[in-house]
Amino acid sequence: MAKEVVTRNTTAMQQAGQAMKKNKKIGARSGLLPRGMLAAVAALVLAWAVAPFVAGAQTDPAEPVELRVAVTHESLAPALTWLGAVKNIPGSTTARQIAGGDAQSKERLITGGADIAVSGTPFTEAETKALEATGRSVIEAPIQAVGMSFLVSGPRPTGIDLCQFVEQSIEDDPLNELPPDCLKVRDFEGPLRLTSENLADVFLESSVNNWQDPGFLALLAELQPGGLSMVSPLRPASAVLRSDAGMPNLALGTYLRTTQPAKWSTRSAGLFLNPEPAPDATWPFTRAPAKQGLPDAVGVIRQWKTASAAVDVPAESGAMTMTTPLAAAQAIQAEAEEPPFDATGEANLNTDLYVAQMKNGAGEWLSPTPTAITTSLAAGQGAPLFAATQNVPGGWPLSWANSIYAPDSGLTGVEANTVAALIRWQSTVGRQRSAELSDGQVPDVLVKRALSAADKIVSSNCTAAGLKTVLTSDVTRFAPAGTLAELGETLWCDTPYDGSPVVDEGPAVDPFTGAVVPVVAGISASSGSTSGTNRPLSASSATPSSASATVGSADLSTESANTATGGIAASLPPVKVARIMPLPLPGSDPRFDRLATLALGGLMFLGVRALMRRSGLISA
Amino acid sequence: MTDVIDLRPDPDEAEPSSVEESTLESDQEDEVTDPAASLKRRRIILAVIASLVVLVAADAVIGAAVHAEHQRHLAAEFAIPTEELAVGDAAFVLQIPALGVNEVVVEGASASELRGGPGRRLDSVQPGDSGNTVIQGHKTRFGGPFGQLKDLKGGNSIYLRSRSGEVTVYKVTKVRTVGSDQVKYLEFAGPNRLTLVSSAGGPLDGSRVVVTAAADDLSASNENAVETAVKDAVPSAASEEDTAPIQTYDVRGIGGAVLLLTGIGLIAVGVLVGFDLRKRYGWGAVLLVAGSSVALGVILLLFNISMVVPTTY
Repeated sequence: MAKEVVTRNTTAMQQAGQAMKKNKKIGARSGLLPRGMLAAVAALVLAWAVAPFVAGAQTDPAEPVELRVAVTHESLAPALTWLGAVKNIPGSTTARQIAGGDAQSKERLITGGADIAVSGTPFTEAETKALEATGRSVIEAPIQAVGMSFLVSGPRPTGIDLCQFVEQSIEDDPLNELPPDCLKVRDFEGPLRLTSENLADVFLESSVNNWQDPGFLALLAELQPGGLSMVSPLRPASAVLRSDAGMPNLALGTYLRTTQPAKWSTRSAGLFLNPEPAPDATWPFTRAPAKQGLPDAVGVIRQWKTASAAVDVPAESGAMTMTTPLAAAQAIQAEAEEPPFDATGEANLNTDLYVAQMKNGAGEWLSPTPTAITTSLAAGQGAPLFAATQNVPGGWPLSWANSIYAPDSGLTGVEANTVAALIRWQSTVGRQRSAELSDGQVPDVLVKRALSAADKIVSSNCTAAGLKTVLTSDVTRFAPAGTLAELGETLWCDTPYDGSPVVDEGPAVDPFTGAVVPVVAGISASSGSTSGTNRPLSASSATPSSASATVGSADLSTESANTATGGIAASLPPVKVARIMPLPLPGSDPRFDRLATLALGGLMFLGVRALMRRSGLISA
Repeated sequence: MTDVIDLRPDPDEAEPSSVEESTLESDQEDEVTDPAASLKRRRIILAVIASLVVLVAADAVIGAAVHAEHQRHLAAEFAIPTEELAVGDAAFVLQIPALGVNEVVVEGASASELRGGPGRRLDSVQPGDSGNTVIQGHKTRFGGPFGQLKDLKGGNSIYLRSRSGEVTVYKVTKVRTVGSDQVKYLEFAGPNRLTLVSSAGGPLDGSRVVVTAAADDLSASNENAVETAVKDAVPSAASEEDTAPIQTYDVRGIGGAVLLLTGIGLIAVGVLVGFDLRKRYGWGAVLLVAGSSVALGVILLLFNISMVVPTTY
């Protein structure tokens, strides 16, 4: 009996235990949902608190920044030549030239519009101070021997008018016969000669009418005996001035002040002007029309016969302006090749253009040939206008050297190498080919100075960029292979090449061949550090993806003459400006606020709950 | 057999304290020989050192937190486009990819503004204008946003974005370490450029790291832009005469000095009162009264110690 009771009790206990277990499971199951929900809510709250908040990133990458070369109009052609030579070299910095006046080029360097400048005038004290304010000073490297000539739009030869008149008379009256004098009529072919006195009369706005001046006409008749005489316009010859401050104005001012001091002083005193020509000033006598830059001035001369209304000077008076021999020759060629009628059927009036001969310090009449420019600079060891006053046989009087002005810091290693390559290329290949651009050859003393400056540009900028310099002759990344071989080992900045393509879609024109080079600077290169050969300056193993050149327009001047910003440079597409921040903008990440809010909320909950328990509102 | 408990102070026991007091006033030889005095002195020295360590640590932690918190609020403020800015407002975003710097710059560069991040000196020009934009920032304190300034190299790019969305790009041209008296780099006249300033040395070293960056103005490739820029870029003789002298790298105010002295005073009062409170009311009173006073004093000290150390340290 007792055993049965015990057994029953045991069974009841087991049942009770099982029931409890069951109830516990049920209880656990019934609490699973709220606990899961609690955990989920907690996870969500935690995620809300911790989840990072990042402001909208600017995903567009910054555009690659080019080496921007601010060139003068006079140095545009050599710059384009170099650009065409290096355009397809992989790994080199994309370069772009911006044409303007000398002073503008320097200002671009100061204000950040350019990385280096080309100018014929050195930095003034104020310009140097302004550049130093930006933490830089300049290193000068002469690269171009240039001469200034005068492009003249002459008055019509008398005979043409006479013949036209006679032909008209014959049509009106068939009985009239052609007078025999008319058969002698021919165009005046030059050479047109200008003395310093002529130039002073024109550019200092004297009342002398050159076309009626017996002395001036005698110069023309000297080589045209017995035939031609000029129409005598009522107005004096006009000067088309350059409104861009720089070496052309400084050279002319210095030349006239030296050779015609009386006329210069009288004119300066009459206008209360500083008698000293200033390198950063425009032409001080501004009654004549002034045009911005060389292309505009040449363009006005070319259109002289039809541009009287635009320039506010009667076309018949003739005009002249300062230009380079290359631009003058191209303008004459373009004028000769101009079709008789334009697209609208209107007749094109040809302007009679002449490049004036000038008398040098040795008393010779000369044309601005490359040889004459070279002779002047060589005799003066690079001094400007040396043959104007000194006895230098065969020396062109208005010659000077244009220089690259590069900063001693602020360039990256690649940029410094590019500038050095440009200088070295101009001192070797460019110098040898200078005559093809109607330029002279830079004298040896300036070449030496330029090569020294190239080393200095590399060493100073490379150090500032935290890199090291190397001596090497393997520089195919920055100059066409073999072109700098004669210099041997030169100083370069050891810059790694990541092989990333940089594409510039702008055209480059080789002034020698006229080839429009498809610009693909980004190349599938396997050179430099990417090749594992540790040849960071070399791109010799690169394979251009599109290096074929198509021959296009060879005319450097005709398209550029009428542009305001410097010819071919203006036809290049605008630089893509890096106007996007490289990093995401700082975000107002609220994680700390969220966590602090949660913590404070939690503390408040605990505090309130404790108070409520103490006060008996809720049970413990 | 009843023991009498004498609550009166033992005259013999009072002697050590009188001896101790007399020891404090005695000559050096006596102090060295007294171990109790030496121990007390050692404790004071340790306490001072510990306080300084705690102060420095608190400066680092609190300063970084203050900087981070300010930057977050400035970033939110920066998202609201405006052109009218007051002192302390978020002015523009400064990014130096080479250093990983990405900071909201505030208007003004006094000690209080620099706590939140780099600040544009009010006597400099706005970014993009002709002249010198000067931005100062801390090297070590308050997050040290300009701590690596000296590591910048020539050619490194610096970007500034205004609240109206205009981006100005600069290229580093020079990194100098200059004395506190070489303030010519702060001159605002001249071409468009950016100058970043921070401290170069320790908390008592007035030398500065000055980074000069020239404008990388790609938009100046047209003639008109250059013509406009040229007029302002090259200083004429007249404009040089008009140039006002630059004062100093440190922009401090009398208010900071007052607060600094107040902080020191609060700490001293807290400590002095704390001893008395402990004897009379116990540690609770010490924590409540003296602790609050000391804490407030420490905070005031930390936030105004720039009256002693360079503003950009």
